[in-house]
Amino acid sequence: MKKYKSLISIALLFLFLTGCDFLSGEDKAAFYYLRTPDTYAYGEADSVIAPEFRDCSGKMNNLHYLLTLYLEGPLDSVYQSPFPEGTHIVSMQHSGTSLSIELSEEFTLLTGMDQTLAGACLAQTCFALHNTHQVHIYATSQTYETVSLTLSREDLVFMDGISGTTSTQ
Amino acid sequence: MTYVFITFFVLLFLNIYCSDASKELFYQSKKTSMLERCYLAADQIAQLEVINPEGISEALQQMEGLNVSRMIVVDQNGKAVFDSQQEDIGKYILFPEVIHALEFNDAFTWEYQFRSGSMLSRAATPIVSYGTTIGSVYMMEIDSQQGRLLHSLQSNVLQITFLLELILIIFSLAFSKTFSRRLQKIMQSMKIIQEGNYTHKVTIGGSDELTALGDEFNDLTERLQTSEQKRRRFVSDASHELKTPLASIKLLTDSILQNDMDNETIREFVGDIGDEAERLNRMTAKLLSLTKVDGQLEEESEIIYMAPTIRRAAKRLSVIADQSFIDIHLNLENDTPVLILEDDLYQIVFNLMENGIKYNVPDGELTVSLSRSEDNAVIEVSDTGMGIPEDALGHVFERFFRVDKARSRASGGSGLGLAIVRAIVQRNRGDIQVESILGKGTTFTVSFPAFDTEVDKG
Repeated sequence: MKKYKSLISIALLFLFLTGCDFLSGEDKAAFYYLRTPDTYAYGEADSVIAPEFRDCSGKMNNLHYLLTLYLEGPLDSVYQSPFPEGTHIVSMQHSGTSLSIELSEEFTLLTGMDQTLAGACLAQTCFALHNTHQVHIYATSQTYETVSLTLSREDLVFMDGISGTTSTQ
Repeated sequence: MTYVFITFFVLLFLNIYCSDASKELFYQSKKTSMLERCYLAADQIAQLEVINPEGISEALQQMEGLNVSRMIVVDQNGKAVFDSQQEDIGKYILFPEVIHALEFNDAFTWEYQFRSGSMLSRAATPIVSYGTTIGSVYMMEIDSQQGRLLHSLQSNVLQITFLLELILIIFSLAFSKTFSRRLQKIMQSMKIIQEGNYTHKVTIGGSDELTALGDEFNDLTERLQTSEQKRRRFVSDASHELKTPLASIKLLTDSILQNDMDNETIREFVGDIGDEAERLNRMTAKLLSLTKVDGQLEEESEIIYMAPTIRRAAKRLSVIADQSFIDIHLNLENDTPVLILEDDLYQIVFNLMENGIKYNVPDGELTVSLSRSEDNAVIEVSDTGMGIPEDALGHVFERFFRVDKARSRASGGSGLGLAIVRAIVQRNRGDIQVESILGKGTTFTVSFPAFDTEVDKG
């Protein structure tokens, strides 16, 4: 009997030690950031934007908290935040599978592809955290200029899907 | 096996190097080609007033066929305004190549797809108008022909590598088998020789170093055999010669002990014992001398004139010469320097002169002459003695050989004197010959290479 108790204890200990991830998989949030350029994975889906997983036990239903945490930036040095420092959420609104996020004026400092990448990172994070199909991101500068970006899952193309079908002779 | 491993790694290295070199060649070629096409398209598009699908299509039609699998044109935000595949127009193209290009950098990536055997290339360049990046051109090409070529090249090199290695392994196995078989033969022969069978010969076929080794081995065993025979003969002769005086001594002592004799007889017997003991003493001294000559290390020779040494030997022998009524004549005018140990020369001359006195007739003569014969310095020792029979001339230099045993014993001879002389002459790179007429006399001729100091030292 003693022998069996020991075996069971060891098995449980093993599960607890190695199975932390297994037991609390639903408490991990995927925060999408930019890879550093020297870590781009060419030809893969996570080539430029990749998820960093964070333990958010007990907070997985609080989207505002999660996105606030997200905007603080990545922990791992292989990632970098696409948002200017100080960017934060001003307001958020849900409407079915659409999410509207107003960001602070720092977001208006981004232009061109930088703005697109930041929007894509935030959108990907929202798609992973919430039942969201479309994200509308906007911000107003001090001079009242508004920038906005509406992104759905289909709008973002991370890798060239045309391969092996058409070849050049 | 070591050899096989070394060649395997060398071939592997060559294979990898060849593969990498060919890949690099293809890479550079493809990169140049793709980027040039991107530049061309970017230049054409940059000239448009408005970037839209129709304008871009028209611009591209004016160019010769770009010959790519896909082309996408994006604006400065990364949104696709043109897609040759019509798949992603209006979407945000977030390829790393496009991102690089919008940062005003050219981008090129390349991969070999093993499954399809194709080369997949991607390139992107910025579209610049009036110094501002207004978008980017992205191109992708799947080249199955070049892919097959590269794959074929690598495959062929690999096959050749394996084939070479296989041939090498087979050759090495065959060679090592043959080699070890031949070497085994020599080893076995060595064991047979070690057991004392010096007549054994090894036969190694072929004409390489192992064959030469086999021949040398056979020469060595032959010399060993000869040496062993000489040793046995010498031991046999020596023990026989030593046994004789010892037997005489034993006989004489037994006679003295066992019989009543008068003092005169006893004195006579004791005298005989003394003579035998003296003979034994001389014989052991000469044996020792011969052993020394045989085993002596090479001493430093010196350049000397021979006349002084000959005079010294003659003076030493003058007493016994006078006792035997022998006249010694020295003709030493034509002296030539030779490279020799002075002691060796003395012993040669002394032994020959001593023989010339011992085996001479009363009122006989002994003549020692020096002469020059081409490059040799010659010593002649001639006597007017009894001479040596013709059939014995070939044996006089052998150890323990005596022409007339009775006469030799009477004169104290051991049969080793001339053997010692010849050994010393040969050790000093000289030659000795003998001529004799029975009843008239004998001449010993010893020659050494002349050492003319002015010529030879130069």
